[in-house]
Amino acid sequence: MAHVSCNKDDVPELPAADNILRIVHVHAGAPLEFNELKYLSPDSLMYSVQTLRYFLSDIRLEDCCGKKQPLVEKLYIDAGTAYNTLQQFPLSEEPEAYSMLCFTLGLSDTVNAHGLFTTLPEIAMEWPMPMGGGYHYMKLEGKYLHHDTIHNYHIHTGMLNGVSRHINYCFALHHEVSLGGFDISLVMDAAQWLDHPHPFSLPDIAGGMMANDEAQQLIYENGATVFSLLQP
Amino acid sequence: MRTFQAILMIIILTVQACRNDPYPQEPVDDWSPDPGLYHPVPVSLEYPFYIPALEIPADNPPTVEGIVLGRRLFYDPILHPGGAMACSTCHQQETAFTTPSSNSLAHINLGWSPSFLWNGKVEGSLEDIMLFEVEDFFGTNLSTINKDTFYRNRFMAAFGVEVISAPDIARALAQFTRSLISYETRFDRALVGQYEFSEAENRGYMLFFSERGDCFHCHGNVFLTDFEYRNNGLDTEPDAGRYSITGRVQDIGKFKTPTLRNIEFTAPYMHDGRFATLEEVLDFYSEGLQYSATVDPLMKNVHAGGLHLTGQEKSDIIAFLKTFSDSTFITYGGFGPP
Repeated sequence: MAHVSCNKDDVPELPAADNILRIVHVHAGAPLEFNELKYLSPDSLMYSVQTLRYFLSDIRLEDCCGKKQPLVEKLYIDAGTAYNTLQQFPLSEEPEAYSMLCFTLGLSDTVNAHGLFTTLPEIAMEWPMPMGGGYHYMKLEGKYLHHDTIHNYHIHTGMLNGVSRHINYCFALHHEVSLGGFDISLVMDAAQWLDHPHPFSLPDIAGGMMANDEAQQLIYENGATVFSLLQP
Repeated sequence: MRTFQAILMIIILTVQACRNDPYPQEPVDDWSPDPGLYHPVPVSLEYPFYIPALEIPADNPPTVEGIVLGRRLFYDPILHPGGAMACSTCHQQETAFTTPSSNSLAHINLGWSPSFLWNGKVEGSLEDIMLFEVEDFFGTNLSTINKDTFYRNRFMAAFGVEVISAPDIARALAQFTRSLISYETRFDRALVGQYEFSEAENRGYMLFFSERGDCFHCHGNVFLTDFEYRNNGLDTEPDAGRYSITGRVQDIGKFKTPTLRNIEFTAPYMHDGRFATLEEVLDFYSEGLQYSATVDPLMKNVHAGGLHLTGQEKSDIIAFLKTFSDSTFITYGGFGPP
């Protein structure tokens, strides 16, 4: 138990943060491995993941009645280096209980504008001004084997032609949490990007898909099932 | 002229005058520089609002004395034990401080770089790379520089030290190198609406920032580099590159993405200087890509050679690349020999 003193100069520090949000990356349920040509696409092509970088934004807890507890306004994730995949928040003795975790993959229209980020590595996610500006939502890159030849692919999502395809999620927690201590894992299953509900063909985007409205829509719709929650 | 540059010029002239101060020319026992010399004048390094904030080590803030001292050291062969060469022997201002004979990376906006050298051998701050240069590259003889009363006085003035150490030399060089900031280009003026691209430049801009040319994925943002290590398809059996540092097989053939700022002046190109002109570079990305196991996923159509740009597209991209040129950077006297 922490020592308590009446002297304000002796106010004890809060114990180490015990509100934890982990961002975990898997492929079909197994830990995501990078640079391994071991995954099978819906059209039976072996493929690898070499880069997986994306923004999450507006990460928050919500209760049943719409009360929100913001956690992170915007977060850049690099799955390959586990950059920002462990988020910790200070404890609080506030009694509110929350039943949902909500967030956005990408950046909403209201914030997705050039100049939002002024630091590395975030500025490397810029979406070109001639294509609307702002930032990539996600970069998923790697290689695939097709007709005995290895090719490159890059699935880059963002706002195109004024159409914003950031994806909003809200997950019911298995049990309510407060800021008095929670441990939640947000799991991205990279396999789902190519799989459900639309089988996605990597050769079809060999030249890139940033200006491909149809491909952007397919990935956007596949994104609905990419995330899940784990809670001890 | 930028304010701090005007101050630098005044100080440079003063320093030049002081070079003939009546200090002992021969080493003198029991002599130390006057601590009263230590009154460094802070300098605020200037850059446009759209460039991310420059992180400056708390123990080496830029000062007039530090920058001027670093500049003098940059051009002084005293760093070499035999006096055979200075930094400037290889890193020449007219080529944005690259080395034309061996194609070292340009010294442009290095204060923002998290790592240095083509294979990222040195990570950290400019102080870290400069210490590497002093201790590992040059092997500077500290006894020699400590016998030089001129330098002992200048190090006292800049850092308040009586005896010059390798880290002190690194700090001075880092201050000078950190001041090598380039942003006075047509591209930068266009960013703030003060310049209108020509037709060719505009076509090149559109190609650069589209997946047709796709230069931006590696050379985008205001630094015109993402500071990452990539295998851009030069060879079927690439040089070791980053692998020589990390030992990771997936890093074979990966080299640091250079900035395209002042690219017009920094020939030759690529880590080994194999391309003499920008035309050769565009030809390479258009028809010359080579597949290897670690070629970057961003490289398109590798097995067919690359982008297959038209002659007009290549010409337009080159026209746009030349908007990254900052002629003041390569001619400014305050960056040149003292």
